[in-house]
Amino acid sequence: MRAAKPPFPFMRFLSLFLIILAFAVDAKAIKTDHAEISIIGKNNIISEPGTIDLGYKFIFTPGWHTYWINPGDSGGPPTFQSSQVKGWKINQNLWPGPQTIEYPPLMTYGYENEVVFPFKLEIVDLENKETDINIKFLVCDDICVPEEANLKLILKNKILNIEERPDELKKWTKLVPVRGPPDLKASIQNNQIRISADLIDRGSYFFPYDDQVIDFSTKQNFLDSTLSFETLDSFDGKVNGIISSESGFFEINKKVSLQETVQQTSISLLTAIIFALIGGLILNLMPCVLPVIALKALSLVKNANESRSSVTMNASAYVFGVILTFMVIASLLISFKNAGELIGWGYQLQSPFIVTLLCLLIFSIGLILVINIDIFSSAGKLERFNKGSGLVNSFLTGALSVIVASPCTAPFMGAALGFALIQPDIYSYLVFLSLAVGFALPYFLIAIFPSLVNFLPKPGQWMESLKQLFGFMMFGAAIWLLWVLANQVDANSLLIVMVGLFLSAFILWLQKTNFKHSIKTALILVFVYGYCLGNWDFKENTGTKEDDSMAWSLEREIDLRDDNRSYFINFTAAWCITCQVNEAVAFTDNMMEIFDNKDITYLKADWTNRNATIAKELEKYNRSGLPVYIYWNKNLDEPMVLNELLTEGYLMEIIDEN
Amino acid sequence: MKIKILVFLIACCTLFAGVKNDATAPTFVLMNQDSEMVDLASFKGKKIILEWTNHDCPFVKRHYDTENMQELQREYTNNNVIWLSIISSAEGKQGYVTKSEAKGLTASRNAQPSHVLFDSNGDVGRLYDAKTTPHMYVIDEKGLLRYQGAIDDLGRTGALFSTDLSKAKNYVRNAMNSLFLGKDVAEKNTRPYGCSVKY
Repeated sequence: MRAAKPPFPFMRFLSLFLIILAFAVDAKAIKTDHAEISIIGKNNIISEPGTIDLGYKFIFTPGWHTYWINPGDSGGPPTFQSSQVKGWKINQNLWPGPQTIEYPPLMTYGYENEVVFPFKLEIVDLENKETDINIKFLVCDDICVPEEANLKLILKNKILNIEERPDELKKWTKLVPVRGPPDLKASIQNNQIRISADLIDRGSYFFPYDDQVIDFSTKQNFLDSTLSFETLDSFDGKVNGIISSESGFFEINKKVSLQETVQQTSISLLTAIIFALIGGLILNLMPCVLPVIALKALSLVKNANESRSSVTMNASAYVFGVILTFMVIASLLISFKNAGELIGWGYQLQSPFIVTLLCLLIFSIGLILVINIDIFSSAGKLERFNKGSGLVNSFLTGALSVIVASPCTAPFMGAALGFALIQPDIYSYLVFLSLAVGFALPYFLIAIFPSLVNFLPKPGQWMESLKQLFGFMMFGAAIWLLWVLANQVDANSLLIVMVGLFLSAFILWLQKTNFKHSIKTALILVFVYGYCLGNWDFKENTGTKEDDSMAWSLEREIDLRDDNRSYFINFTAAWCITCQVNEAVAFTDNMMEIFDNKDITYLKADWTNRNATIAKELEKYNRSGLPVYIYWNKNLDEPMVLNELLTEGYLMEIIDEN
Repeated sequence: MKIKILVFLIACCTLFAGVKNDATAPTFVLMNQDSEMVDLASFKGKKIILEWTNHDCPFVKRHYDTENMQELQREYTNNNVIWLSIISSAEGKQGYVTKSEAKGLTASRNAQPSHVLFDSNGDVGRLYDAKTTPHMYVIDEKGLLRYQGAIDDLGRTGALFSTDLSKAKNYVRNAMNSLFLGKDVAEKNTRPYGCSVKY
């Protein structure tokens, strides 16, 4: 360009000089209608045989462009053809990362204004020689024009006829994609591909090599080092392309398992709702919930001879209590999620404070059941306020049962709630609502068909005994919560909880003995205790009992994967009952020996206390609740998410089959 | 899945972009080179091929310069197939032609379309989600869309710079062969290549 139209005398001189220089080395930039093409390199003096880096440089008419190897919706990449000449070899050109060039509704990938395609020249000897290079390319702005250029690469007297532009060559070579980072991961769920790596940033874009991955104009979303976008129906599971990032382009070549998505990670909204419904129903049978629920059932039995409308009212109040409490919990979880917190189902048990409160609550309920006091109404008032306080009572029972149910994650609920929490808010609410309805279903039915009460056994003395028995179930649940706490905090912190249990028992005894100032005393004690608890700094139990050789960390997992060594990850927590059962049933000494023999590294990720890394990792598997079991060996593209209920046999099968 | 269906239904209701294979091809009425209104529905009972075209597009040029497109047109129009060449270029954009220019092009290129149709506001192009020129669609006697996509497998710049177009795997011909044999089309949806449609 400059040589063609020099505006100033100095430039004229310079261009003259350049032309002379050009003649000397016979380097010619070939001009076509919309482009100027030349070969550039670092140094045009070749002193010894070897491989040197060169590049085809294109300068287009401003605003015009050519295309990347995958042009996108229209256009096509340039082609380079050279004649075979003895004594040197021109290698295939490389493709620097492109930019997106949009023509809504179409999306194309290419290079605007200029581009350099680096390539390597292998020089075998220093004899004089020349090669013809034919370049065909499409150059476009709104319209496209196919153009062609014939270049000559000449070595004469150890001088190569190239332009010396080391900086430009370096700049474009740096844009050639490099191997993806080790933490690069791809997964698919509900037709959404998710690619994550620390390098991925807000400006990142996935350029596919294949035509069948995405609709090129599909919007790519960024969140938390993750790119996500919708796939085509014809997507075959191969995520093959390059990703732009601030530090350059890197390649991705991953296979995502479509089959696994169908079975495990991607469950549809409808399935999630059904699972939540069933899960909610099963929650009724959990040891910490059953007593509370059963009490409600008993009170219904007691009042069976009352009017139908009263039964309906009571059951409805209970259902209302359950649903309202669930929705409050749901909005809390969702607002946490929207605030960017990494949370999961059961997360509330990661707070020693909440575990303490639950423990006190459950212990007190146990005591009330065993020593049989009517906490809400003394005998005389019962009859008068039956209707009003009865309804409040039913409502509170509903709320209470939801709260005590929270530690018990039924096996289905991990998937359902995991699904709920990664969906748009409205779906999250739907799943939680369905869970609530499932939980309240038996009473829902009674509310609609009050005559069902007649099918319940006749009231009698057995009710008292059953009540007391349930009280002991509550003590059991309290013991479990204490154990969870023991895993979380040190002995001194545990002490204050024990004192709390003692005080609860004392207050209830005061109530039982009809001590005159029982209410006042209770209030004072609760206040003093609450004050202590509020000021108590729970110290995390730092000394882990597990030896570190089993502790999971992302680095260890990546290392194992890079070394092609199989591994098994057990995501667990002391407060997860299913986890404890699985550990007792499946992770026997025998199983550990088998792991050892097969060189499978067993890793344990303990989520008893809050841990953002683990929460983030679980999110990758689309889970927010425990347990989660992961198995990987070198034959699997992506880690396998196992069933939530384990047996030795099932584990052996998995290991043998893969 | 359910969400997808929901989204799809919403998309259908709002703008219906794109067409589904083995579903009824949306009908349209466009003016042809002789100022006659041509209704797609009137061809029911015949096989139809839609060709999106732009005579200045290098890819289209290449298919016409090599007689590749004309041969295909001849082969099928002689066999009672309706061939509709549709121009969706907006007025002032590349590929826009008047009726007489279109007749001139057909004569000079010795092309054999049943009709050349003008869609300068791009409605039909958008209805079919036509992306490139050439972009091909095959509709069967029942009005069902049986193929959509590229004309052949010389995607990207193959068609532009490759020497022999007749050696390519021609998706349209394969689809038509399957239809004539009463079989299912094996490859019914491919990625079209060429120039962007100049809406």
